[in-house]
Amino acid sequence: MNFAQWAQMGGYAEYVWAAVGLTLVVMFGHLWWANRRLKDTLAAARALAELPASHARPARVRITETTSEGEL
Amino acid sequence: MNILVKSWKALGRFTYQCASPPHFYRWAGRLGPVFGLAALACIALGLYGGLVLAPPDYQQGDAFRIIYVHVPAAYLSMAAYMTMAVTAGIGFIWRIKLAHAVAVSAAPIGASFTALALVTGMVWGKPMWGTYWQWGDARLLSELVLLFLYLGYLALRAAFDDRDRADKVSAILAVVGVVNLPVIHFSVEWWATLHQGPTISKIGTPSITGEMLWPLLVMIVGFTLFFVWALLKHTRAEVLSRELNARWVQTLVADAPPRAGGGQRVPA
Repeated sequence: MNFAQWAQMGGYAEYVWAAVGLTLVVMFGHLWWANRRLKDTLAAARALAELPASHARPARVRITETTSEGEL
Repeated sequence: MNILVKSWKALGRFTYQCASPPHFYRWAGRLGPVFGLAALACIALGLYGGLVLAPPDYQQGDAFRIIYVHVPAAYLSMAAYMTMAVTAGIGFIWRIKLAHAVAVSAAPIGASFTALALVTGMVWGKPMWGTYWQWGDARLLSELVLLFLYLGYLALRAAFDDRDRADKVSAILAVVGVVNLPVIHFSVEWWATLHQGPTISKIGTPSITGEMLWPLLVMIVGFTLFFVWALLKHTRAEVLSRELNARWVQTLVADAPPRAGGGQRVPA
């Protein structure tokens, strides 16, 4: 049996290959999604880790301003 | 007696360590690729055995080869639900956050494999039965109910803003839904249906020849390993999203430079 005959799957090629192809798409789709989710969550964690520093800056500015007015 | 007490304490320490999010994140990151490689090897071997080496069926011809993706997908749809229900139950009773993270991570994997089992079954049904779907078939309907249980679980979780409440309420649904699993399994024996009877679950007397059986078993092992691989990946992301404010996550992202695939090292 040559490759073309085998690929025809005895006349059921569209059914067999559709089922196998869909399965592989679902599997690789899951891996891609899980990796993507992990990367996005790590990016969110990184953004959160940088957040306190950016929040602290305006606070320090306010303190400096009030100090200059002699209220602190 | 002393040994028993020591073993019990050691088991407690082991369970506590496993349930610790940073510990889980670390060892899941290490174990994932091992499961992944084993899954890919088994699936490649199973597909070669099923699509190339196995002889055509005397009645169904080459269309029977759909069995090599349909049966593992159907098996995984139930195994994933059992995983989801057991871990949701553990999380509900012992209030272990990691258990809820595993449950919610198993849900989308189980839902997609349930849908895959239904679709590949329909693709098989068309040339064999002459129809894609038969509403009167108990196996098809109970598998469809399983898909709705997965979707209901995910929708119920999405309905709550509070994650703790979502964990508790969805855990009840997950545990109650377990009643559908024996219905799916025994549906072909309890009712006279269009779907064929059990093929490999008859212990000792499978109604399939060895040349066709071994690739199927290898595929089932491969799908199981794939499920663990995907579950570890999804659960790592879920754990991380639940622990965003935790010190170990802050240390993790501060210490480790970004790498493709999110494979950061976790501080011990």
